[in-house]
Amino acid sequence: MGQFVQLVVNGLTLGSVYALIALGYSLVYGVLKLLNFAHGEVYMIGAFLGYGTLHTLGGAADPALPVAVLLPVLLVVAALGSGLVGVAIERFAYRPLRTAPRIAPLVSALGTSFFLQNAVLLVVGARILRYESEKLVNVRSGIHEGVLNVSVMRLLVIGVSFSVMIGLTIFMRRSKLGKAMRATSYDPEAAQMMGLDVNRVIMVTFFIGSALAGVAGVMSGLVYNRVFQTMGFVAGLKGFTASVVGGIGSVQGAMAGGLIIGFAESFAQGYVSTTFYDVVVFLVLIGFMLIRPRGLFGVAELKKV
Amino acid sequence: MTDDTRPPEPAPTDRSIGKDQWVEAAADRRVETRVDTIRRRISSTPVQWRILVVGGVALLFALVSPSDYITRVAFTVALYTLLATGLNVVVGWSGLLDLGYAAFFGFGAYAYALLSSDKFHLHWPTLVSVPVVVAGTALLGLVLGLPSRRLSGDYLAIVTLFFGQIFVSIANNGDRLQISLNGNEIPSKPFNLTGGPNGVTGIDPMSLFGYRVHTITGYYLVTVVTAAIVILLFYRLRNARSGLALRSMREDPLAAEILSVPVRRLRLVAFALGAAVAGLAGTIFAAVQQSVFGSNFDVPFLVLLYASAILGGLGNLGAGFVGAFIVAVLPEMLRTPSTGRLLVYGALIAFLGLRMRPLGRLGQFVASLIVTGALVRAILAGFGTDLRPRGSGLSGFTGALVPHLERSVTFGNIAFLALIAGGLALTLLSREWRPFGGGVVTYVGMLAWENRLADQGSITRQLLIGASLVAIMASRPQGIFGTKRVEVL
Repeated sequence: MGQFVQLVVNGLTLGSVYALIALGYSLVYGVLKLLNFAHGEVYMIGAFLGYGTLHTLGGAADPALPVAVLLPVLLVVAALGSGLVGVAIERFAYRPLRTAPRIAPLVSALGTSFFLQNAVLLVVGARILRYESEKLVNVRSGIHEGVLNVSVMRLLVIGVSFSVMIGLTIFMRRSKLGKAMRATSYDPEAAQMMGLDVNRVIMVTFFIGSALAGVAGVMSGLVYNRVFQTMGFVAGLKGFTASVVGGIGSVQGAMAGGLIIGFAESFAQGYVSTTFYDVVVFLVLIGFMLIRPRGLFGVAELKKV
Repeated sequence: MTDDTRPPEPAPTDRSIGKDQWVEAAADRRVETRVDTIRRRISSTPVQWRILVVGGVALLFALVSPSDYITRVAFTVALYTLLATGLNVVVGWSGLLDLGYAAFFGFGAYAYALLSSDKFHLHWPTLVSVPVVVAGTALLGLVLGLPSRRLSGDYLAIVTLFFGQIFVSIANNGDRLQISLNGNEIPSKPFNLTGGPNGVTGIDPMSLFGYRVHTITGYYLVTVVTAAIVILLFYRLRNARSGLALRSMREDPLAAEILSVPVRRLRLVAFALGAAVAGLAGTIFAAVQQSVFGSNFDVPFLVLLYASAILGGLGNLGAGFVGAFIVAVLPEMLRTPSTGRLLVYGALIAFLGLRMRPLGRLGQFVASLIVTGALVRAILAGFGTDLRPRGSGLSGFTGALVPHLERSVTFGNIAFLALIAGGLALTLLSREWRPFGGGVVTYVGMLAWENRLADQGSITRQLLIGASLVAIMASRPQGIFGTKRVEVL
């Protein structure tokens, strides 16, 4: 029972991170019908930006700001930085390819991802950096009742992730920009004819999606304590599948998909194999994509000839 | 109405069925560039001759190669050519983005390794094990191609990428294969299949027709001959019925299906063909290295393969050689700072000579370069940095212009980040301002190069490959010698 509860908590934390990454994929895919392979690298860069900010502010052992201020600062800096990286990727790697054959942006994305990974390798090196978040907050704080053990960092991750989801849902439903994004997603040409600046909408979409990835990066750094230059690839892969599982283009779907993958990974680790959990997760996902490619919340797309 | 007012009937050609006149005439409507002229000249000679000439020159190269090191580089070019050819069939002809391709290569290498080493005390003769491995890889390709019956485009790409990751994970952790279900360990003792991170070592060399191949020159010859045969076979297939059907699938799968092309079955065929070639290349790789490791077949290698197939030109089989040459020779040039310097400054001068016309633009470029240099030096001197060139830096005029700084890592990193930002900003400048911007960016690039990139040859290579994939997609999506896809709107 104790192990089961712990696995649920792990799955929920992991799932929250994946859900935030999945949102970025989902938003971008929604407006551009483009698989942004470089999204995982944006998440990685966010994690490094958070690390850099933490160290500029004195490090986890002796921070210059109180923790309650420091954590939001980290998140905001990483979100802004990653957002800008995302906008740059869109402007230079994807915009020239809007009308190109479908395969061109995918290859360009692969190249971008490879470039970013190696740029970070050059500047930071191949070491694993540690946030040392255990020095930031008391390890014993959080919820500890019987079999339920949730550290305060995990609570933070889950809390931030859920509030971002709710905020984004309201933003997409109510705000003018959200409406513009949905309109562009539905039919970019018609949206343009109605006077929408589609390029600006796409830019904003990339900014929001990448900022969420940056937030996810910092949070994974805080909880798992490790940032390294190849962390983005597999996380990006799982984030993408999370958005597919949930139904690509749907905000709630991304959340649901992220949690499903988080639970799948956590239980595979706990009950099947600690070395092959990735294999198990990937197999489950392949199966899911074959059976229901449009995802849980997705709408089947009609193919017009 | 009399007969002679009718427009003349188009002359019947030997294969006019399945050709669209508008598409056929596409070449005549296009303005011919220099690259196109070269392409036309090359493609007007028969394929067999072309392969014979290139293959013959490649074989003769083994005789004049000055050292084993050079032969090894040439071998890499030949191996990548073979791999790019296989990838070209899947991606270039059939339009399937197969991101598990590196895994097929790895599967071939591991299968050969397990069949001809002390791992399981199997030492199959080469002429038995290679066909078995190739057939096995083709079968694996067929199985992994099955998702293409239901998925296409991005989803297919992701699923194949999963397969690639699963392969790497199994290869890296395959020394303790064990799964625990409800506390029961299956099998009871961990099974060692792949040797895990230690890989499989002590692999037998190939022996063909009684000759044991044990030098790199031997493997080079084997690879060149294999690549030539494979390319020739694919050329035969290209214009055969199945080849035409495969290529019709890339242009428009739906239209092809309506024309009763068995699209789903052909996708499997394309996967299997690509996989078979990759498996064949894998056996050669394993025999040359005499060891295989899971990390050999991870994503960086996949990107390398895509770069060699795409740089050469998607859809053009022989062009794989061009891409392979770029991808394989580049890292060797970047291995030492001095040859890397030759490459970088050579490329810079060639670019300036070709593109900076009229001469006034060149003048603007040089002026901007020198002004930037003077400014940067003044700023650095203001901070009290030692500007004298150090041992490994350049000497003479260029050395005085581009300082190899103290704390070169920090400065180099800053210059590198500035180079990215500047290079991106350069693409936004209007034509008149480009020479000025180019001068600034070039100086920053030289700073980054001298202080950081030159010492990190392998990272620099990966950066160049990544950037060139993006650049080539934006400027010439079909690659240098690729066949342009006809867009139907």
